[in-house]
Amino acid sequence: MGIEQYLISSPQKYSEIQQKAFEVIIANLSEKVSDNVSLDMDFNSIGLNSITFIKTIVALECEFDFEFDDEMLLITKFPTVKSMVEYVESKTTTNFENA
Amino acid sequence: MLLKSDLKKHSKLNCHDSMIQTIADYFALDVRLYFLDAFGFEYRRRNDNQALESAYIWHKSGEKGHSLLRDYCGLNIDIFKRSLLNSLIMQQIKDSIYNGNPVGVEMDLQYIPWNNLSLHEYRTHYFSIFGYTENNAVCVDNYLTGQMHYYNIDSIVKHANSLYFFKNENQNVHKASDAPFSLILNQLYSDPKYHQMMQLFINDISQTTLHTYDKDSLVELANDEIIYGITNIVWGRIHFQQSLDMLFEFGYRVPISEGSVIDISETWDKIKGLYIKLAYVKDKTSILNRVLALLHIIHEQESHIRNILTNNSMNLKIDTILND
Repeated sequence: MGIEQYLISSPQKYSEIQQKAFEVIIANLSEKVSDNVSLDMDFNSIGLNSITFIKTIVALECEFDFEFDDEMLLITKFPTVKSMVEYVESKTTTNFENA
Repeated sequence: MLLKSDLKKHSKLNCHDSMIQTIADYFALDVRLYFLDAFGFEYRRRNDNQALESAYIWHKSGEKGHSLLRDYCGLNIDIFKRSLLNSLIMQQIKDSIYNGNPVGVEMDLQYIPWNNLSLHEYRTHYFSIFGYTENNAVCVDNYLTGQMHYYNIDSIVKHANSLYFFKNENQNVHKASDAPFSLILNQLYSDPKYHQMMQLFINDISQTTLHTYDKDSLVELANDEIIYGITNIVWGRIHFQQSLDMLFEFGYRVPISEGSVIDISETWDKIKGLYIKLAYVKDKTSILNRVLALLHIIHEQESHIRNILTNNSMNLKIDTILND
């Protein structure tokens, strides 16, 4: 289930940043699982290992022009896809406010 | 009987130790003593000219600990190496399983059909067999998938590097809590060259990484010995913490603050993340400097814990446990 389908089952609105972040994450997954990912899934269950996890982080950094804190380079810091999407939004908003 | 509900992905263990833990869970054996040596650190260059490209790090848990598993954890392992795998071995696998004793398999990843890693060849892997049908073995791989898989027994015998025949001998052995103090110390302090190896490792990272580390292929990264090694170190530290907790349960006083080894494992994990990141970013110098800063912190923290263990080694044994 992609974010569009997820939205149907959830009353919560998702911002443009969250949707873009979700797309970047999906783009870094293998084709086998990328059609079946929802925001509440954990990264292990969607086939992200430590290497593809960091690759995804770097892709998000390039897309949104910020850097993940080193403390957040642990896969355990993000229990779900949603938690990473929210982290990206929080960092992006902070960057915007500081600009 | 192994229930599907017993399957779980041991994501905090390497594949060998995941196999051991799976079998231990099946027999309801406590194998934490086996992980007391998981605070080790080894760094070797296979070839000085190649430096980091062939670096090697490993925690100490492995085949060396099998006698300890037998004598104090109740898990006996008979290993049949490749040269001993003859036509009779297939029947032996079936007999063992029929008698309730799972069989472990050491095999190169390239022959494993359920291999979901980007790495497909030239790395040893371990899994276990818990049952069989007419032609297939029912395999459990709690490292890669946490699921059961069917695999033709002929192919297993053909491709296996070795087979591990496990037996539960819990009735015939000492309790882990009766392990002699000397054995515990021996497990704890098995890497006297720690400082030397750590300094060499940090030096090599600082000297060669920028020149040699320019990879963008996932397979190359997955083959990287440093990443693989650090992953093992992270696992090792987590299991060392659990083993320390076991010493507390046995009545030993270990003056190490709760969770400090877990903090160290997280720092190693952070180093791994930054090291992988080096492959994807343009500004490598900034990332490398952070890796080096964390390595120096780790070196200090681990040395501190080693000093505590060494200096207090004669005082660890207390209360109800007698000197051996």
